[in-house]
This record gives sequence, C-alpha cells and structure tokens, in this order.
Amino acid sequence: MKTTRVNAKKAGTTTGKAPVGTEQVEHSTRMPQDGPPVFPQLPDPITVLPKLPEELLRLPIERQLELEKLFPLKFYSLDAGCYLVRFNPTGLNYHYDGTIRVQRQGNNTIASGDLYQHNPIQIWPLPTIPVIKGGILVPQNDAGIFLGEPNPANGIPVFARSRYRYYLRITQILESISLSNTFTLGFEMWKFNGVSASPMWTKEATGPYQAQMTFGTAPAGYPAGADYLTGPVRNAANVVVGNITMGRVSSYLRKATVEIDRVANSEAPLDSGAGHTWQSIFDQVKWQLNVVSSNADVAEPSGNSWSDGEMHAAMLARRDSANLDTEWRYHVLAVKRIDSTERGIMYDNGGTDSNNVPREGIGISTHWMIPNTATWGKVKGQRFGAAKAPYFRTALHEIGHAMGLYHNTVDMGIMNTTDVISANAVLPVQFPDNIKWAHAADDQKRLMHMPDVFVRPGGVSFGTSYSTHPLSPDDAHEEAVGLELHVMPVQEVLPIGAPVRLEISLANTAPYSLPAPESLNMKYGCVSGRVIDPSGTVRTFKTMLLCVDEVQLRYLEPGEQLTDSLTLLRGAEGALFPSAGSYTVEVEVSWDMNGGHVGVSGQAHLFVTTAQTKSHARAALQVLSTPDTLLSLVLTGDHLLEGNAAIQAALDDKVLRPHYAYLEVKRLAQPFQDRKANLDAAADLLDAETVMSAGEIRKCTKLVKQADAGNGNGNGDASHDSDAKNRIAGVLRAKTEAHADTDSMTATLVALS
Amino acid sequence: MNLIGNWQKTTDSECGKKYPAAIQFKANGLYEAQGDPKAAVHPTWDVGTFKLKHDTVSLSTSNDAVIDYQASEEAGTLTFRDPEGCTVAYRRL
Repeated sequence: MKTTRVNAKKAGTTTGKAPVGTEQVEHSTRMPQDGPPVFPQLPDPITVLPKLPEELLRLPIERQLELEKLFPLKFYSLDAGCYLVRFNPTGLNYHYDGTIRVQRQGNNTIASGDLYQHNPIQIWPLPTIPVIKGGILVPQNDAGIFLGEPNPANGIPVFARSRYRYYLRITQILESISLSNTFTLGFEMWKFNGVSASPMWTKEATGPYQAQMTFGTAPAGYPAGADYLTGPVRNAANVVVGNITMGRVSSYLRKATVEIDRVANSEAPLDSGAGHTWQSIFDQVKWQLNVVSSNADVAEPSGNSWSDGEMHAAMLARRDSANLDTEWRYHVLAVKRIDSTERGIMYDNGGTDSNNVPREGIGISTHWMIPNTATWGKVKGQRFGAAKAPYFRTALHEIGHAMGLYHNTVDMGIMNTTDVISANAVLPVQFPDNIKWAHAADDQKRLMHMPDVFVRPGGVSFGTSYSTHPLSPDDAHEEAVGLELHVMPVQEVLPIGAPVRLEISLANTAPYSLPAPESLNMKYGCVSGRVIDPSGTVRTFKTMLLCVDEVQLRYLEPGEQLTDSLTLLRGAEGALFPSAGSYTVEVEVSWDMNGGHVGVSGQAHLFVTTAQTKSHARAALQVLSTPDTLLSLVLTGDHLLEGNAAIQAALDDKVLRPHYAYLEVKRLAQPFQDRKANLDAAADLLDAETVMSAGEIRKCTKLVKQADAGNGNGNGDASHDSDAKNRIAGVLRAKTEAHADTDSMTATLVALS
Repeated sequence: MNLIGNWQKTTDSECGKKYPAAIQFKANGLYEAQGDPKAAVHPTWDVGTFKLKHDTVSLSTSNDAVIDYQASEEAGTLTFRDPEGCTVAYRRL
C-alpha cells in the first residue's frame, strides 16, 4: 500500500511499506448503505454455535429422543416449519398475528416472518354462546373464536392483505439442540408502508429486538407435541416492549392453491410425465400446494387465441373462489393459443387487469407448435400441450412470476426461460432433458423468505424490484464523514471468467486530519464488499487471509489518500461474476473505533461479456467452477493443483490469457520447495496485453527483485538469463507509464532498472 | 440494423426507467439485460428472445409477453420506441 495526496500527483509520497496487491473473499455481514431502502435484506443463515459436544449435535432427532429416555436430561430443539405467531406490544389495545418460517439448511437455520395487525373488537368479558359440537349444544367460550384469532388446527394461517404490517428478519434463533428450555430470538422489524409508499419499507428504529423464548406446552388446537414458546420482547435499549408467542402449525412454510381451468381439448398441466408434480417441485421450497383441476369447458371468447384481457376475464368468471384474504389462490388457464406470446404468460401484472389485483393468474398455450429444429431436441415439431415436460415447466414458470419471481439464468431451473434452456442443451443431452426441475437457490430463498406481500397473490405489483440495495443489518455503523472511497475497475468491460481488478483509494476530503486504517490491503480485514449480479443476486467478499485481529489506524492528513488494489474472483457464495451482464461492485472500508463501527463505501460498475469462443467457454467454466482458483490467486504455490490447472486452462485460451498471465507469473517468479524461481518463463508470459492492477505491478516488481537477488524463500538462485529481468521490467515500465499513478509507480520500478 | 452486441442505456427519462441499464443481444436470438440494481422496478426486458423485422424488434419481456418496438440504429446508437410512445436509446459498448 502507499499514500499520496489528492490533487497532488507530482508531490506523491510513499510510506516505504511493502507493495501489496489483490487478495479478497468470503462473507461480509456488514453492507454499505446507499439510497433509500425499499426492501429488507432476506435473513442470513444462522450458523450453529455448538454449546454441546459435536457428536451430540450430529445425532438424529430419534437418537436424541432415545438419549432423553436414558438420561434424566431434556433436550430442546426447534423444529423447522411454519409457526403461528402473536406479538402483543406493551400498552396497545391491538396486537399482531402472523407466521414465522424456520428453515433448516444443512447445519444452518434461516428464519423470517410476517406480522398482520389484529384489532379485536372489545367484547371482553366474552358472552357464553352455545355452539353445536357433536350434534349437541355446548357452551362456547373460546376467546379466539370470537376475536377472530387464527385457529392453529387449520395449519398455516392466512391473513387479510390490508392488515399486513411487518416483515421479521430473524437474526438469532435456537440453531440445534439445547439442554436449556430457553433461547434468544433476535429479529429486526421492517414496517411495510404500502405498495406505493416511498420508501416501501422502514426498519423500526428501536430495534433490533430480542425475545427470551421459553418452551411450554401448546394449547388446544395445535398439533400434538407441537413446539410452543413464549417470551418477553426487549428493544435495543433492553426495555420490554411486548410479548411474543409462537407455536408450530406445519412442517411446510407456506401454503397455496393452484386452480387449473382449461378450454376443451387443452391439456391441464399437472405433471412433467417424468415424475415431477406441482407438489414435488414445491416440496423443495416447503410450500404446501393444493392443486385443483377444475373447469374443463371454458368458452373461447373470440376464436382460439386469447388476449391478456380475455384470460383475465375468464379467470374472474370461472375460478372456484376469489377471496385472496383467506386463501392464496393462483389461477392457471390453459388455452389453445395466446395473442401476446407463444407458450405462456403471467398476464396479471396490471396493464390489462380489470380488478386491480396483481399476480392472480397465468395463461398457457397448448396448441403452439414447437419449431421442428434441432434446438428443440426431443420435442421438436410437437404440439406444446402434448410435450408434457416443457409444457408443465412453462406452467411452473408462469406461476413463479405470479409468486413474484423474475427470470433467473443462473441455472436451467424453473425461472430460466424455455428458449435459454433449449439453446443450452449440450449433446448428448437434448432438450427437455436438460431442464432442472427446481427453482434456483436464490429463488428458493425468495419463495421461502420473501415478505408475504411479494409472493402472495394480490400483493405488490409484478415488476416491483426486490434487487434494490439490501439494507445494512448493522445499526451501529456510522458513515466516516470526510472520507471518500473511490473504486475504479482496471477494465470496465471484461470477458466472462476473468478476475475483476479494482483500484481503490480512500481520500480525506476534510480540511482536518481524520483517522483511517493504516492500510487498505484486504488481509488486514477492513476491506470487504459485495457484488450485485445481472439478476440482482448479491454475493459478498472479504479477506480469506486475516493477518491481524484489529486494523491499525493512523491519521490521514487533509488531501491525503490511501490507495490499493483488489482482485475479485470468488466469494462466500461462489464465483462473484458467474454470468454475462452488468455488475455493480460495492466496496466498503470499515473499522472499529471508540466502541463503534465506522465505515465508508464506494462502488463501480462493469460489464462482463459472454464467452466468445468454445475455448473461452471451456476455460471460463473451469476457472469459475474451481474453488481453488481463488487459492491460487491469493496464496500462490505449486501445491494448489486444481487452482493452478484452472489458471493453466485460462492461459491456454487467448481471450482469458491476458487476465491470468500475471497470476502465473506470480507463481513462477517465486521459488517453491525445490523449484527455483523461473524468471525466463515469467518473462515469456508477460506482454503489453497482460492485465495488471497497480498493486500487481508493484508486487511483480518486488518478486522480480527477490528472484534476481536469489534470495527467494531461501532456495538459492533464480533460474533465468540476464534478459528476463529486463524484459519484465520493460513490460512493467510500459504499464506504469500508462497508469494514472505514474510517478509513485515509476519510483517503485527504479530498483529494477 | 445490427443488434448483436452489448448496449448501454443513455436515456434517463422517467418513462425509460423500466428499461434495463445494459442489454446484450446474442447471435442465437436471445438477449440478456441488466437493470440498475437500485431501481425501484424490475426491468421490462430481463431475459428473453428478440426478432428483428425491418424496423421492428419483437422482444419477449419480463412476464413473457412479446412486445413489438420500433427501432433504429445510427452511429452506434440504438433507439427503441415502445407502444406507449416512450423512446429509449442505447449506445454500443
């Protein structure tokens, strides 16, 4: 790392610190915030923090129950599924009902919830009203019946849309099993301000909240043995603000009905013909689906091709029920042809909607003829309704839109388009055998944990973005006013598979000194960030090599700036740039001081292009699908066989070669065990096309100096002819001259000359 | 008119906000687009097909409807006019 002064290029000073480069990765829990929040971040997985022996944690629940019989110990665990929840705020004459969804994902737990306001009629003390039970009149004094409380015996409850108030982002919960009958439930409350409000969501300022939940016995109406818990809720100031109860009502997370109506001679899309049904698909996202194949005689209004408006009118006229406040009902209409598209459409997005209720219905076409071309594989030339697999998939896809999902090309799953899937079949596998019968992982999370109003029919309109900037879960984060972080990609447009190189600079724009990290090198842990991909998916990165526990601080003088370079390839969620399209990279520099957390963020935009050749596609696939490529990038060494092989594949491709050449140079220029540094081979790789960040140029200079001095890793002299160093120096010098920060870099290169 | 390639939106009009910030038209008749991550709306064009016939481009949209757009290309700028009359321009990357 080095320092220079803003607006004083010629007067740049160096600290004399070792040059640094790259390094990156992993998951960041702290996000920079920018712009008005419109959508709460979905909950993160809550990792198991073992308080019991690991062997015990691995035991299946049946074995745990056996242990309970053998030993006088009681083990507590929270079963996955949907919980009926009631939140009673202190001092208010109304409360909130809702659901909490608990999902197990390996050893992690992800949980979220939604609250609906319930303002009961004040009729207490309740009259005793006789009701008929078992054929006889009995007094009924179940308060819940009179107050309109949800009945846990009915399973997953459904609430009126107009009462929707809060999304619960759960940050702490009982992860595995415990000997204690209590645990802490931590959550944020996001208030829903309305579909047309700006911002649509507001995070309650007195949170985050914690409830000390205690296991108890479920009241009548709950399934036998259901988990049932109660606890006081405290705000961030540790003041009790209410009481919460939650009782498990289902192993599913959400429930809905899909009604299928059709015209005569159009098939109902009920299954794939290969064992996939509506329920089997939605079992993967823990939705309980009631599929109703209903009317088979819907009349054609104007010939066999339907307009969006005609389909909407038919839905209104023929569906079996229409109260979306008591049932999440989606409607499928199978017709012969559709005016506005070939295969299927989620027509109910507002433009043709006569009842102003979005995302209720879809249309699917049975008589579109699949083109008789190789792209369509096994179903080419068939009538669409007769091609069971793609026909059923399209119905799933359109209902996905009705559930608030958008197109998703990360895999060949439900929300990818039929055209993309058919075009991506690679022989010997033919379309439709390459269909992935599942939603993509991020869509699965959305279906399980998006706020109700985004997924339920009649909620927010289709087209409302959920890819907008997720929000910071860190209330204690303070903006480092006076400091500015600039992020500049070395290349704004780059081919898929290439690592993304960024130059970052932290500048003091205040007229006085400000504390800042001593270094922006990622290994010190103060630099992290996230990448937003073309589908809006957010992936995070931070260092994978943490050198010190706390970043050292220093004062940055007015006008002074720190600079460094990042090279990004993979993060905690895998490849950071896995597909073509436009990306936003947000970098945050943050540190702890004075008991708080301070940070500043900046962003850059870049565009990743698609594979230009088959060779490029193969090489990109290898580097993107090989986790160890990152290790080779960061750690470097001959022992990283898989990562090095991936880099070699990239070097063998002319498109990716310039982007990976330096990474191989870095390996070759360093001795490894018995192998000497090989500057000759390194020099052969470097040329004017090689893409390098400023940090990499400095690092390369350092490595060449070390190798030339023959002191690399204490393994004796380097292997090179006298020309190698000069050839490398020539390339680096040319790159230095083209770099914006020429002066300081030239100074770095002097020693090579 | 040659659509194949990468395009970046240059229009900043209110009506144009529903269109993506960048779009890539591929030789196989498919396109992939990217909206502004901070936009309040999901882009009307996200992933789909396109067909060019004379000065009309038929694009499949985010809800799978196929919409016809009047289009023109001049000096590296591609201009679409949607059925509502909104004009949005892109420059070739």
